Amino acid sequence: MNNKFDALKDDDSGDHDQNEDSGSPKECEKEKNEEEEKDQNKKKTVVPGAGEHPLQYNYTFWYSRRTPGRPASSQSYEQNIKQIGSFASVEQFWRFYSHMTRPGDLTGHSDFHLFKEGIKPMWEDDANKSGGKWIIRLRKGLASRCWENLILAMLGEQFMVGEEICGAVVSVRFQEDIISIWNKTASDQATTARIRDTLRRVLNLPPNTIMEYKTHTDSIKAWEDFHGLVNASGGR
Amino acid sequence: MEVSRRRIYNKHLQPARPLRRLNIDPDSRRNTETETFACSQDEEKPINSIGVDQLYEIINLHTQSHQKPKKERISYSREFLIKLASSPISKRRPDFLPEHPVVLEKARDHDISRLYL
Repeated sequence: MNNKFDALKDDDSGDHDQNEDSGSPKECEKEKNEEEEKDQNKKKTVVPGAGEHPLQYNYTFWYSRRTPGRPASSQSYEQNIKQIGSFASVEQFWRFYSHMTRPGDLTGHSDFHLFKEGIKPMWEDDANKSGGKWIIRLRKGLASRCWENLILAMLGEQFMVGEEICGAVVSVRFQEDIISIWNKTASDQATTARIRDTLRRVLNLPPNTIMEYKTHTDSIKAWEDFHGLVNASGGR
Repeated sequence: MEVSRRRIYNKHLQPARPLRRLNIDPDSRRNTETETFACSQDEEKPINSIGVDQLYEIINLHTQSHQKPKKERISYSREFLIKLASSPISKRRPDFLPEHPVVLEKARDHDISRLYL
């Protein structure tokens, strides 16, 4: 638990200028700690409110931001990723979404993740470990709109691939933004083809947009190779 | 006579029973059917037409039970989801929101309506 909050502290001490924490940091952490534990209990029992429109699955919003000066490891990634909340109905989704910054307005190296409840937005999660993702690189200015079209299609069950969808990610980077959708079985070509076709249909992308499928095994390997190189040359 | 009519009736009614029950105890089922048969005799309906009606029922039951998993998938169009964004419940702040730079105090509903119109 402590490590998690160290990570959060780092996150806040980065180049965020919106952060206006008051009070002693220790106390704040304690409160956050308790609140989060309460949240965890709530999250497990999230149900549609009376008269609301239920979703096929419950989903959880996550946010992560690269913390400068931290050793990059899969463990620190897990510590650095923050749950925002879970929802079970369309109305609950909008309640969260309207109280969050849109991805196009984020600064720095950060990601929003929207995953089915119970699936962590990590390669190592059981639901993801044999999976992969479709990646679409976007020029700056398109992220919010594309992200919204993507998650609305996911929540509305437009992909028609059964239980295959795990979640979606929007990654804000320096010169481009990336959106991706993760599925369970990278080797299932009928499913990945169907996801690709649905993406084309729902995203309204510029005609020259390139779509790339990447298995998580490849992602892990590439990540290890890259960080191996960095470490060998004396970097972090 | 009684015996042969019973047989005909059984032939038509049998598939209308849930398959599970068919396999479990055929004997007790046969008894109930005899009772039902007595009732329908009062209405003076020809046995054949009962069979046809029930055949349709059977067909309906079968198609329903096969399609159910698909029908139960809850799907929404983009337009419908966007329409729901403007309902008052959708604008309320969630009860549990962590304190975080990307979490806003007030809903930015003006953004949503501008975006989707």
